Amino acid sequence: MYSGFKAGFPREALIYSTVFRHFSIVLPAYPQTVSLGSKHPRDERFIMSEAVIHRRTVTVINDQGLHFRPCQLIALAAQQHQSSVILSRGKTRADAKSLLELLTLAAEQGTNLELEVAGPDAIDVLNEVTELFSCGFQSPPRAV
Amino acid sequence: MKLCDFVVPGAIVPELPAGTKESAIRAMVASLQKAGSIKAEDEENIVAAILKREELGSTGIGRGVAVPHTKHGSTDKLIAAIALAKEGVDFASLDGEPVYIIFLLVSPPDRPGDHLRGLENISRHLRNDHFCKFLRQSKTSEDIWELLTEADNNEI
Repeated sequence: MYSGFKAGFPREALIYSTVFRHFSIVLPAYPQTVSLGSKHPRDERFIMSEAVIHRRTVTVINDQGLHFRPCQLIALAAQQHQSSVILSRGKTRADAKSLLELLTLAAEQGTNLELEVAGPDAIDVLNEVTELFSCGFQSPPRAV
Repeated sequence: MKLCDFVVPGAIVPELPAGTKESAIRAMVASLQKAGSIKAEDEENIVAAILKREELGSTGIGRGVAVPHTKHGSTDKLIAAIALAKEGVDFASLDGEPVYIIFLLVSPPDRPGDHLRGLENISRHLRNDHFCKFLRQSKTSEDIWELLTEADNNEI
């Protein structure tokens, strides 16, 4: 499975290759490295579309904050998508597919978190996770 | 907040008898009661609350670890018990694997921030493979307390 951003890479320079996606490899998106073996123009368009990182600010509105159950719901939603999903609180970045990492955010009610999504189904997962936050984790996300 | 701020030294169970999720939770709540952190008359109620929470979804988070918990009015501060189960306990974990390390948390309902910081603290250390490995290798309460102290000081 595609495992998401790797720590240490500049965020703006992240991309993963259609060639290597099955091996869960994240590569820096320097323009000269984009072609990666395939010269088919369609591949390059696909790569370029996946280089886009979609960002949205989400707010914890439920009074108990981002405790175990909300983190579990976020992780379950993120795991159902191929795209990488990162939730950040300041310098603390959590892979949203990992319950343990999400719990390290310790986000109380009123906390703003940055949601960053990249991948082929980025918009779907962006909407699904945003919906979880906006309903205070009280109901299942809307079917997309 | 550090582990040693909320783990009750008298509620460390280095070797749980083989048993079920319920028997493990009961033994850990009993250790909190024996340590004087909760009253005897609240013990059964706390066990029931933790088991009810487990019905919503297992707190077995994978990596052989579970974090059963509840918010309960009988305590005015966050408290935790730790237990090791050498034989493994079936916690209906997300990854289907048995649980060998259990952190049990009881926190006051009106202080959600403390509960979140407790979970954050435990999760941060559980991400460390060395911490999990050393914890599972611990034989006595003293070993475990020493390990928690080292973890708090970022010495692992």
